[in-house]
Amino acid sequence: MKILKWAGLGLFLFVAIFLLSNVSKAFIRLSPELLTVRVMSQTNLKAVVEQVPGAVLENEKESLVRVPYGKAESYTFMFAKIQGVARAARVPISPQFSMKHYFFSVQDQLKAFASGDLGQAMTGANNNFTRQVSFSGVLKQMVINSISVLIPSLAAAVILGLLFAVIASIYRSMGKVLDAIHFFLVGIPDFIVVIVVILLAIFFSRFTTERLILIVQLNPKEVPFLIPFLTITLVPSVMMYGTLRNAIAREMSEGYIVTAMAKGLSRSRVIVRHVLRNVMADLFAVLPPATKSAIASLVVAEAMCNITGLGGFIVHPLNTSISTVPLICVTLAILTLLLHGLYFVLGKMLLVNTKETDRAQVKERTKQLPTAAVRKDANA
Amino acid sequence: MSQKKNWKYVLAWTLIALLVAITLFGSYIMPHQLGAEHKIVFLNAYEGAKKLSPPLKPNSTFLLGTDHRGYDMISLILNGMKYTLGLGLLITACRFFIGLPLGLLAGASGRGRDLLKTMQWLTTSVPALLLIFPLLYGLFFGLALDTGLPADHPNIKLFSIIFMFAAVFIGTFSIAGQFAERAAFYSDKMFVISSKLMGASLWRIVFRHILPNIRSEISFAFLTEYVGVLFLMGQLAVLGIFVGGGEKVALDDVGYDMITLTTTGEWMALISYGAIKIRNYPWIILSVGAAFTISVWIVQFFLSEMKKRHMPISR
Repeated sequence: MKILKWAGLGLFLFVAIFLLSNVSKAFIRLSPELLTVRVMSQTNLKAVVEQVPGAVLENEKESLVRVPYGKAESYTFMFAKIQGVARAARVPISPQFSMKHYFFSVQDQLKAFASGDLGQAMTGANNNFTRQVSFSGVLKQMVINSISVLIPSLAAAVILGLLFAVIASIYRSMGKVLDAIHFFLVGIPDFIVVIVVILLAIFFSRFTTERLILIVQLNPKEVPFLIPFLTITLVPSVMMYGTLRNAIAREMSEGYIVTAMAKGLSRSRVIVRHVLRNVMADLFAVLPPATKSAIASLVVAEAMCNITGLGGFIVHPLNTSISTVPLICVTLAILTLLLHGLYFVLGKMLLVNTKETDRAQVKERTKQLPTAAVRKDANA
Repeated sequence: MSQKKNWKYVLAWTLIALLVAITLFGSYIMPHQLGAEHKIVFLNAYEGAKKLSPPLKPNSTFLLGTDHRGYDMISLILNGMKYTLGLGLLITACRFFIGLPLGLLAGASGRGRDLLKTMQWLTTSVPALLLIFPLLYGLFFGLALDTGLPADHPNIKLFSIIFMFAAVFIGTFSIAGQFAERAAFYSDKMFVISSKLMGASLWRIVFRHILPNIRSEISFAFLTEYVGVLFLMGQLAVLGIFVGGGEKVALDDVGYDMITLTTTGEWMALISYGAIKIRNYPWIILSVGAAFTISVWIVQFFLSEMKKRHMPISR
């Protein structure tokens, strides 16, 4: 029942993102059902209109033709192909908000998805995206581009956050320095990191003829890695350091740690052998928000480096006329929820579950278990 | 408290007071004016054979350089500060104004907590950017904001209202959920139970008994949320979404390459513009990025010193 509830909520979320992503379809500046068809002097407009099924002559004097609602664009091409037609164009109207057009476009898009057509995307080389291809063909490469930087960045963030939190807790003087660095990094937005690294790369490239860092994607095979990697790693690692540093500090004041220290165990041994296992729950608690930050940073970094990954493609200028934004947003949401699911499963496997036990028993166990481990360790 | 700690506490207050003062009076201390008559087309100076024209690099007259219209970056930043920091503050305040009573009432009464949790999950399970960006992106182009509409255009006002509403909605349930937990915690305390037994209403329990106990937590959460809102606004700016109007400016002689520039100096619009021109005119994004980061640091420093003073953590 619980699984069904979460699956339903997930589905609701995807539908909400999909509907929100399509909001631009509600604003129309061109008539969705009227065309201006200019014909050559020897051609009769009525005869031309009769050749196109579904089209009706609206006003011969003004060369206006009515076509089925929402099909104006495809009918423009149909008319343009007919012999004797000089020009077929959509009719500009005063900008308006139309829910009818919104629902029509969403319905049309869903029908296309159902038939396996995910829309069109632009691709090309040397940052010159001029070739129109099927979106389903490039989606796989986009996911690969994004995941190949997201996963290493998240792994690096966990390792760095954990490592520096342990170092800061073991060596107090080092801890002060790391805390100060942490304070400054907390205040740096992800887009500033991209800017700084890009500018450093430009600055240092003046002193060498070699390319130090790839700043933008030049072609589908040369995708920048270092800039998105640093950007995505920063915020999650800072979050993890802060959480784990506080968690270790909290554990260090517990009774079993005082006992361990009193028995003569070194600070590093106490932290590595006894504290770390008890702060794993904090690590799993901070992983979902850290992943959310990482995915937001992925979008920012890919946008700034012109990478045709999931994030970069959202803001590609050509996308304003191509309906891939809803699909990309839903794909990113699915990716986020899949990672949350992975953390949940890992947490279930690695953490001790105390949920069904009586609260008093849990308290007793958490007090006794580490103390027993400390005792065993001290005796050894 | 040691003298050193006291010194840092005073510094935190001084910096935050300075930030507020510059935000409020920034437009009065601008070194250059930002009117249409203050635009620069060409200078009476040459760089090689080419006549100098904006954007100008940082120099003795324009310490942080200029934009494409010849407007001084320092003046733009000082003038735009109140719009950006003010909007962030307004969004945060609205989130708290709705989320705090909602959470406290749900937590203290125990009613509606499941619904609140569901809404919290829906609005926080994926990055806020993914929920808010598609909507605003569609509206930005749908309302023709990319065509450089003036600041008082009805479309700009409509977009600003929707931006505000979306940004407030996305964060309200997380605040409500957070404070529902705290209210539920305090509801089990003896003084609240006694008050209930004596017939106190839910409103009285929440606002007279629970609220005074979590005053510092609210202020810390407010500042943390404020920084989060500023970060979200920054991310949206990099993706080309910002509040406020501007004017369409040609970046080349033939008018092929056009860009929307802010007339007020609103920081998000400057970030959006600077991000596009980072490789050619790095001082634009560097100057506004530095101003943004320093402001965030000041708020973070203030928050950290407040926490140290009111919630000391032993390490």
